[in-house]
Amino acid sequence: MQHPKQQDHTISFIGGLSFLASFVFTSLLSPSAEAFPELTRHGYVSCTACHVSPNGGGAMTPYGRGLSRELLSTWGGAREAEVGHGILPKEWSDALENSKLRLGGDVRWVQTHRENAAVRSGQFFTMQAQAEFAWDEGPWAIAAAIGKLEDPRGKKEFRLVSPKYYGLVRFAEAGALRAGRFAPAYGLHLADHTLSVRRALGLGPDVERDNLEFSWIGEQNQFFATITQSAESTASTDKERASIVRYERIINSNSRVGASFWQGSGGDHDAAAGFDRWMFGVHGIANLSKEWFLSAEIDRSERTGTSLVQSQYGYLRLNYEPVQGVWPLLQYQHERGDVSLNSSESNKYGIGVNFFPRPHFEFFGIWNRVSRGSDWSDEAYLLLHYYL
Amino acid sequence: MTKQTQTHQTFTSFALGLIAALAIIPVSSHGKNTASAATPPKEEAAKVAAPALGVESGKVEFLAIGKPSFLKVKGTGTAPKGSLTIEGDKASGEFTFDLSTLDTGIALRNEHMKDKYLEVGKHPTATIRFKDASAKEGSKQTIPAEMELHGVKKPVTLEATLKPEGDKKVATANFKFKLTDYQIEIPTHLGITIADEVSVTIESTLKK
Repeated sequence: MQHPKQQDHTISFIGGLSFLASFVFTSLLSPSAEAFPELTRHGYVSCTACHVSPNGGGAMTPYGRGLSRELLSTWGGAREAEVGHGILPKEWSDALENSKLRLGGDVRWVQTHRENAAVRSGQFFTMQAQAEFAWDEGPWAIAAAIGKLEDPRGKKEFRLVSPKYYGLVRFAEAGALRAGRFAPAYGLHLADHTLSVRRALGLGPDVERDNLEFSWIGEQNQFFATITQSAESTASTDKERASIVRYERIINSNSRVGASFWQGSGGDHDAAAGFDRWMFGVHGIANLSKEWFLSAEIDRSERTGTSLVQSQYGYLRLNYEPVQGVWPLLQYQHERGDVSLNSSESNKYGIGVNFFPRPHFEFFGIWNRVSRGSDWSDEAYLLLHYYL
Repeated sequence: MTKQTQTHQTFTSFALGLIAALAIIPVSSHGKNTASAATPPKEEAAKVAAPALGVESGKVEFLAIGKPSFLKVKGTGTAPKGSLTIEGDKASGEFTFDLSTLDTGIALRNEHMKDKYLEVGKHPTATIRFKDASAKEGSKQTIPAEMELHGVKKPVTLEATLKPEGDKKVATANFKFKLTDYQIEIPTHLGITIADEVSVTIESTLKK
């Protein structure tokens, strides 16, 4: 167990990277492994080639584990993508691969930094340590994750959580029903949950939801319909029940576009503290060439309660892959928490890189220049991710 | 460690299909050119000249679907070699595609496709042949052809279009075939199985 280390200044090796503390902290409490929808550009238009979950992330299929070596990582030995990096005896690995057991898991360490005219701060902490197990019989599957989260904002301690558990029935080649606790399908299911289109919309992995999900993943069209409600532990003022639909269309075998709609109601209406909200968003992943690809999402939300608040969020990320496993990126994010208030707007201009040196390891770093009105600040973070 | 070789077979089939399509297109173009010749009578010119159109550039692509998950395996290869001969309004041709040039974007998948499924060492090429096909330009033509792949000869049906482009002809052809028809084992790897039917697209530029 590692406690966060408050630092007075940026760690030198990070150099110019600076990080956005409070906002990111919330979203960095990620309890679930996310998928890499960027692999759409290689023809992996559905998450289920690599993951048990129809919406991706978590326990990996043997095929997906193999891809981490063949498609995602810069280097790697023949057995390095196996559980245990090939250290286990071959017969053990083969038995595991041929079994119904699917494993997943993540450990994430994060260094953050934020700097503006008044504040210069940084923090290092273990964001997540989690393992996920699934049993996949083909027509049905069950999965559960258990792990510990570290809240860098206050408690300074790990807490044991089970952020994901579900049962899944595949009633047709393309169709499945799933019930349990997991991240509902809305927008792009990106690994980077610090994006405003995840965090600001309340879709960060720290928000636990119980769901009943119908999914239809066809050759050209993918459709998800989900009924979701906040977990019992959610504060009563934030509890919400919602219906969500997401549709995606596959284009040219290596790109996809989609739209999502969310209609929810929550809070305590009896105490005049209730709220209703809807969200609508469009998203896409486009394969521009062998080396270039981009992803984008734009969302608009409206929340009614004691007052009416309309918000809009968006991001655009352009990636370049000169060498397998090295993804330099340019990114723009827009956030306007209340469209009627100019002061609620921020724009972030980022440059960063994803680096997958070997199977099971990911480095991600990004530096953002942030404008809020006439104020500019720097935010950055560096993440080391080990996945099982 | 992912073995995506299975998909490669599909690629090979696609490539063969493309070759066939290329052959069809040149035939049509050639017919028109011959007809426009001023000096000899049309029939005589066709009998005497019948110049062949060769492949200047092009590519062969195939698409195979992996299940579950509807994984799209897309492969690309270089242009086929061969020629198209047009006599009157009929065309014939033979085009050969080098299966070793197929690339699916993943090295291990390429290796499995070529070594385990297509057995490129024993069957390095795929060939498409056709004769007495329509040489009409501009509209899509349905052309019966024969594809030799993996040591097996089977009929395929090409949907081909030939369009003039300056002094060249641009040909596009599509067709589908089944791996099992060519005694190619259905590729399967780590729970992903490639569908038997594979789609092939051939694009090529032909020139005298």
